[in-house]
Amino acid sequence: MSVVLSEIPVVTAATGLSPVLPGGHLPWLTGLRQAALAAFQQQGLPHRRTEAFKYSFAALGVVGKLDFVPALIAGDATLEALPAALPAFDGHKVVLLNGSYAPHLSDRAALPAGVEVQPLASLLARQPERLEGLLGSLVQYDEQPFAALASGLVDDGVVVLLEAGTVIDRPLHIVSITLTPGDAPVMAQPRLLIKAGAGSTATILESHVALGETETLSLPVAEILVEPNARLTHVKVRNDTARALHVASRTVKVLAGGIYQAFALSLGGAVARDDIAVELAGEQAEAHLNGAYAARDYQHMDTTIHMDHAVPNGRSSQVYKGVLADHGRGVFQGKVTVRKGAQHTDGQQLHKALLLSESAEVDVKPELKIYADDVTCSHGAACGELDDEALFYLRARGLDEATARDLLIEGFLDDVVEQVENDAIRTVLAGLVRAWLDARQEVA
Amino acid sequence: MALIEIQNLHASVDGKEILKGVDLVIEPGTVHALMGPNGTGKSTLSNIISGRPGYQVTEGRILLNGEDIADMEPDQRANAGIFLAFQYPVEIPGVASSTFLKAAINAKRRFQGLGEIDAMEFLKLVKGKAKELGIRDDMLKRPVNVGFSGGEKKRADILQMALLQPQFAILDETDSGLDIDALRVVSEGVNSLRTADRSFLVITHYQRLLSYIVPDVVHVFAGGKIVRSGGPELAEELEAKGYADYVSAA
Repeated sequence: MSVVLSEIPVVTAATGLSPVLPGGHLPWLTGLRQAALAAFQQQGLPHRRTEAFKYSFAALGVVGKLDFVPALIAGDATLEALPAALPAFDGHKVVLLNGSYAPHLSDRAALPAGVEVQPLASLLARQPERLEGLLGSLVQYDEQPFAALASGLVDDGVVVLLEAGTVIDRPLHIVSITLTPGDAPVMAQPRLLIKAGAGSTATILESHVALGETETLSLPVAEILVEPNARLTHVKVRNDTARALHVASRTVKVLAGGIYQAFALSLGGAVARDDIAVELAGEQAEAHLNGAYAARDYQHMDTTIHMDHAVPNGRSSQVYKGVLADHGRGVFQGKVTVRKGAQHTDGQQLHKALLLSESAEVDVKPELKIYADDVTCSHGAACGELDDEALFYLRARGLDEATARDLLIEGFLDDVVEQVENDAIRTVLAGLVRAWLDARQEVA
Repeated sequence: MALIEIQNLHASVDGKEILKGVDLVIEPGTVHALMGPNGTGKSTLSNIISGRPGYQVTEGRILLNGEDIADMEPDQRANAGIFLAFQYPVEIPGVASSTFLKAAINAKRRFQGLGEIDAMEFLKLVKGKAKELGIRDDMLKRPVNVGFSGGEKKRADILQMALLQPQFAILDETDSGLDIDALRVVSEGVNSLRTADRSFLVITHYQRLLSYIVPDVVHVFAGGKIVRSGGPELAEELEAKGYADYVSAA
């Protein structure tokens, strides 16, 4: 059964909003918004026949039942200081509050030459021509209704432009906070556009935090272009409160010799989905997507990846690890496409899940579509409980059962967190994993 | 008082009786060797003493310093002074060796009513002991036993023993998979821990280890119990004659 679209208030609202949104006077942008909304209306919310949402359409059904109000209508949320839930991190900082740039929380003062970090709305007002042909050029709407909806409402976000050869010394921290200003559940669509110029090197930490006791719906859409020989490290951390919904879409294009190195840590919230599509569009391009997630209570966490090897000599890898406690549910769908002629492709994928309770569930769907004959591709999936041997080994050294179990769970996740090269970010991630375990102990 | 006293111990796994009446008294400061053919229950005995789940003790008891340990969890036994050096030390990806060692030391300190060990003191302690055992600093940063050779794993186990200073240590086929150099290092590590109040139960199939760690008492274990006990000369006799007599007798 598909959802009746007229029952979704956001669509009705969005259709009328377009002219008043930033850049509403720009025909190309209006065209982009209208095409996106049309794509959303044509698809509707995900249903049982939406293959890309096979395991998550039911969990996301709540989106059609609640009156989510776009942030623009809901009114301004205020926040005096950065919340404690946000990783304390020393770096250049740009903060979005319900998808809109929050200057009083940001710090862009020390950005080196060659690095531009601009609020999307302000760039649309001042120099929209710089975004034409770039904004909306990578995002896909096919089986991506939330990306379509968010693009139909696109209003603000962060644009990062790295000139060729630029090197950012300290990581750039992009923060997205979702917070309902009144009683009505708010919906925000923080937009991220990154263009890493040829030969540039940068590390970006993208943090998402939802606050408060009311439902929130965050629909981040990221478009990332890694130009030849650029090296972009992109770490995403999501640490939401219990009633948050988060459906993120990311499209990445890596040109010849470029390296895109991503990590995702997913914690908290009610339902979260990370949809990442990467196209290795130039030879010798690389993409490495690693991640860790931990779900408890009735949390639902979905990672869906499409790694597309379009040309020869590309390398890609995916290593994801998930911990599922209580009634937690994990979904990992990893598709690797090797197009015809993309010879000498090396594509690897591994997903490991640790189930801590009888009621926990994980659904894993690896998919290899290989149309070239000289490639090295593999996928692996493992799912199990804590290793009894390891548990006894630790207890035989004096660790009580709870401490031993926690150390093993922490090690299971840290094993992939260690893939993050930046020391400061890795420390932040390990700290969040530890905090997750400590919070779990307090509940138990 | 004996440090360890095992009285008429019977135990089974999945309903199959493995131990059929083990009696063993270990006085403080002594090294006992337990020798015997494979598959006769030597490792079962060491697992039961250290409290590994999955075994049913059907009769008899084990006393540590005169107290029955039946109701003690494995970690309580460890903190009370029982140490098992594993035949196959377990690999634990993602947990740094130093983190693990610190957790183990702090568990014991809590049990003794002490506060957590100071970070500097811990580093100094571990590095010192590691050096004595030929364990490189980078091994301490690596995940527990991951990518370690057989010899490195055994040395890592002996390092844990040196740090935890148990009253009673069981070495379960510690010599298996060791070359002669590693055997010497491990044996020296054990010998340096021999004191007037600490005892060892050395489980081995071969006499070789016992020329490095010289026992006070040698037991022959066959058919789920100790069938003969003697001095160090018994190990040499077994080396010469093998276990054939005991296998048929059992």
